[in-house]
Amino acid sequence: MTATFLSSDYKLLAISLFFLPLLLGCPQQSSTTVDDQGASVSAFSWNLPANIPLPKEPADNPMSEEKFQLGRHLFYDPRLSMNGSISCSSCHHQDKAFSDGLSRPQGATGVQHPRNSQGLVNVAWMNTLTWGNPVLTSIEQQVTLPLFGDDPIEHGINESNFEQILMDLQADSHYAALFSAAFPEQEEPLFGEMAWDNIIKSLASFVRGLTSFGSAFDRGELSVAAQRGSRIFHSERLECFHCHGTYNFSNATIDRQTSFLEAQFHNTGLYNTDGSGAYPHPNTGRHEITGRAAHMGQFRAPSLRNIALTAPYNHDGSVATLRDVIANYAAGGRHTTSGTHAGDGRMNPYKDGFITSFSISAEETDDLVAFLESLTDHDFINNPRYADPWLMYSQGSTP
Amino acid sequence: MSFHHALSSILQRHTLAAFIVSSGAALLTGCGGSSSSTVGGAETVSINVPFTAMAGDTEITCQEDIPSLGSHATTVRFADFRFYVHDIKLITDEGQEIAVVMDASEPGQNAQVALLDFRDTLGCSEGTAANPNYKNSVSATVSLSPELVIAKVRFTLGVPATLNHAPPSSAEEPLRDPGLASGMSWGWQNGYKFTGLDVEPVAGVSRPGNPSWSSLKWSAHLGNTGCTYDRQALEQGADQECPSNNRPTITLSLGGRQLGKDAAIKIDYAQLVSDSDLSTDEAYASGCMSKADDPECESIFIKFGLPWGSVEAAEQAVFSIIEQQL
Amino acid sequence: MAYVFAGLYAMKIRFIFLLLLSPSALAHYIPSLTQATTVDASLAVSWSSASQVGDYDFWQIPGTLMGGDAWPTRKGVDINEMNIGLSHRLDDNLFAVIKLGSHSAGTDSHGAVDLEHAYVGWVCCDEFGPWVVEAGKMSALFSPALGVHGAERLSSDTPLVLDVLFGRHFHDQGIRFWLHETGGFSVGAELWKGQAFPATDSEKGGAWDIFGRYQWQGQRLHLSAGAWLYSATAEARADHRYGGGHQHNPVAPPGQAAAPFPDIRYSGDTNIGGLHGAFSYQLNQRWQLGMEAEWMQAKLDGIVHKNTGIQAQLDGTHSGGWLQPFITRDKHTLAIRAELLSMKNTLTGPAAPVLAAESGLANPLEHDPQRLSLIWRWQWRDHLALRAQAVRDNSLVEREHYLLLGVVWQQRLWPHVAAARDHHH
Repeated sequence: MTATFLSSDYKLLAISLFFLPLLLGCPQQSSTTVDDQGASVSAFSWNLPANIPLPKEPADNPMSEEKFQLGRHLFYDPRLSMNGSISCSSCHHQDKAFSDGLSRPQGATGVQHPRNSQGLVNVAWMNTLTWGNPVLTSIEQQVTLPLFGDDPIEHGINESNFEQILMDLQADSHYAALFSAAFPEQEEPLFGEMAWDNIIKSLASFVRGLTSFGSAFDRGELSVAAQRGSRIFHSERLECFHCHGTYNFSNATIDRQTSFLEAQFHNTGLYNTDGSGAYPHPNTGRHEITGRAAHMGQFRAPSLRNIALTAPYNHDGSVATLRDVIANYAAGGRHTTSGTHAGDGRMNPYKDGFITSFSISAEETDDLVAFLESLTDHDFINNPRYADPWLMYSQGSTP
Repeated sequence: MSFHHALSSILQRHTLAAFIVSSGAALLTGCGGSSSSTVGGAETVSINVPFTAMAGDTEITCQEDIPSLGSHATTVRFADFRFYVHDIKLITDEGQEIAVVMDASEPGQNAQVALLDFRDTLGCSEGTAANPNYKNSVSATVSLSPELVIAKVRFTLGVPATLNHAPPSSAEEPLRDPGLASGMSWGWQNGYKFTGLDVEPVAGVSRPGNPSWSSLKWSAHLGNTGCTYDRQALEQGADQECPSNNRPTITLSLGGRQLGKDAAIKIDYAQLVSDSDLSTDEAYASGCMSKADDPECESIFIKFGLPWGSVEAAEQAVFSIIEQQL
Repeated sequence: MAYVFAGLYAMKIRFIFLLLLSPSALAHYIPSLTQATTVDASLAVSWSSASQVGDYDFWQIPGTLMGGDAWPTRKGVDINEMNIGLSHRLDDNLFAVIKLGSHSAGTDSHGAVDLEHAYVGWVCCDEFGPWVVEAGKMSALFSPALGVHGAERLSSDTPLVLDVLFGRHFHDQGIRFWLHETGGFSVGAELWKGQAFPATDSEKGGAWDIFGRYQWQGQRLHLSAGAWLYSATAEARADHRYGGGHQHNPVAPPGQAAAPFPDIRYSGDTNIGGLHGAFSYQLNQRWQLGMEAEWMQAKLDGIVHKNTGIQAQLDGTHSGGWLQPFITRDKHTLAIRAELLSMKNTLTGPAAPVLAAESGLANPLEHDPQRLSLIWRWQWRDHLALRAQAVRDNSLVEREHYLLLGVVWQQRLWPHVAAARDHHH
């Protein structure tokens, strides 16, 4: 037996078996190929921090620096109105993060808008535009409302004056070059039949290019109070992050990576005029568009970036300060005791499930406000790139 | 009248034949759709579909006060009177529908939709200059066999769904804003007003129970409402979901007359607002802007032949055929 | 013999059709009519000289989507497995099996005692078949290595490819039909509810598989070989080791960082095919040698997504296997196990870079996981064995070396038999 075992055949077998595993060399190479389908490519220099994904750009209006500059000129141009008195910047001031400090602005004929002028901060990442409209999904769609809307009249451009307004623009020597640079594929971008379409596209491009990711929060430079405020903001007690989460502090945020996002509108219990949840007309929020009872009083959660600059707050500017906003949330809604809009918003049946009351001390409120103030981006409000080019011309400098 | 009827129907066939002969540009088409097999076949002819805008017995004009409109006999001045039509069809006495092809080269219309504008001055109540966009008829061609008897005309009010949500600044006229569709664009619903029928009551519009509310205008705007959107579906080419179609289809009997020859389609604003109080508005927009629970919309919608809430659609009362020598 | 050798040398491992028989019998256990009730117990405990990953790190092999119970080895003593099983032959045709067990798991009470098997079987038309239908919660039969207990295995740990593709264990509710060992052949099909990784127990989830096996027993040579095909559908499948609905926020002691686990889900198909084989040759009364091996390839076709609404299309081919030759003298067995994995993935979509990084599918260094173990098992007493294993673990990019020492107790408690050698599950 032993002799059999030690015969060469078996030795060979034994050795081979044991070294067989080591023959497992040269395997297929593992690899993971990632194809982001151009999601990180844009003709525009967004200059975003590394962790911020690029925003979506409409296929029929890709971003370009030239469109941005043309839009910037139009944004600050009061000739784009019925009586030369209103430009976009009339209600969107750069030093207030492009809001205007009023509860509700007035248009070219003095008619007051029912809603508050929002700040224009990172609009490119917004899922829907304006306070409570689920069908406005592009800046191009939204821009036509202040320009051509008649209820209320904002810029007041209508069929009687649009031709003259265009002629006024055509007469300005700056615009010919700007239009040609922005729309090189068109023969006559300013004098041809696509002129108004080009105006809308370039205004949208300017607004799309207003990006703000340079606050103290983004640099990681939070004061001790702001750090405490950050923990309070992200706590389960306050639940702020549910509607004001993501890198843009709003849950209505989408970017190139987002494949799907439901419409995000929330009723925060601000009004209850009839005891059954009604909000004062015409500001019924999403309900104004869809007509569905469950949508009563639902508004989009704005981005909290630069929020310290955009007082007064909420869709009709009826909440004066950040502390008042926090107090409303702490109470679980706003109880209005007198006046035309009297009612207990805390009992609003359409109130979002996350708006339950919580307790917060005065010191904690201070810390929370300190955190919100750390979201102010001073580079954004002082950036000459976003400033009035016409002012710069008159000062002899080039924008 | 019966003699006239009989004569008209006899004359109609001959007139139609004469039309074909005298048009000069008649083409012999393949006539695949015609159910009757005849000698000669179908020919493409030009037709004119004329409209008339009346407020009762008064023709609608811009710079004049028009009295006694609405349930409370309100005196008004017109501020806007435009509406879109599409899908015009002629219907034979056997019920066969013949589609009318709109002439895309005519102003105020393209191959799919036409914008009728009855304001004689630009801006209507706001201006005195003549309105260059005044349009009271639709120019079209239709493929007809000579032996067909046209009994009815049918059209749909509004902008077709496929065109309603395109960006207005680059849309083909008459859907371009700014352009012919200035003031007809419903930006916040991402669509168009199907009808822009606005009056300014001389005493204004008030709201019972709310003394601080007032309006200068009383509007009748049909349009798609309740729209929701699904961005992903939109990007993949789907249309917005607008459960309220609000595009009434109007069918009118010609009574033996011929459109463009001795018959026109009348829109009667007085009929539209006969159950509406033009001096008050209870809720929401002043007048009716198609909002699902706006109380003023009930009578407007019913008059247009649309259902409203739980009220079923009835026969429309706004459009009719009138005799008109053209 | 020489012919077999030529084959072994000539071809690359994954194309060899190996004929091997593992010491643990591949035969499925059906209680006999004579010994109608049996109770079996086993316990495997091991000590490891080092942890595979840090306490607050995740064992995520680059290029894979892991889950199930694929926990990393942790330094110190661990109860790998405990089983106690009862089977009963009800009558000529019916039998029932219940088994309780526990497995080692990570932190946070994942390792509770579980009802692992609870099923009923129908047998026709012999004592043990050949037609068998079993239904209930049970293990799968398609891959013998997947159903083998930790106590029966030579090694203390599970083969790497089973950890990665099947989450180490397979217990699911389902039904099995098979033709059981007729002329050495067995073929069967199983249909599963989907509770076992990589499927999900959801409306469109679930899994099925088919398998075939051949066994041949000679005087000295035992051979077996088989092939199988498994197909699973998953909907929003989470890595339930660290993620899923019950995510916890880890808190590390001061000085250490504990990152929350990115809860990335997979929705789609996983189709896996495999080949296995074993042989053993009894050289003489004391010496036996043999080899066992299995190789499988998984195709993943689905969507990787996250709750923030981002997703990416995944197309993956994950393959791997293991080869374990052994030599036995009396009660001692020495074996070497070599394991290899290879993953090719393609992620497409705007969110693909982010999802690749967070899911663990990203493999920037193009690492091929490998592991080599030297195993010694000594059947010290009838029911007690000791085993030692030296591991060179290259499953993650950083290579680890550690030693596993284990004790295994296996016994048939009822009917009490003095020296039972063959144990089936």
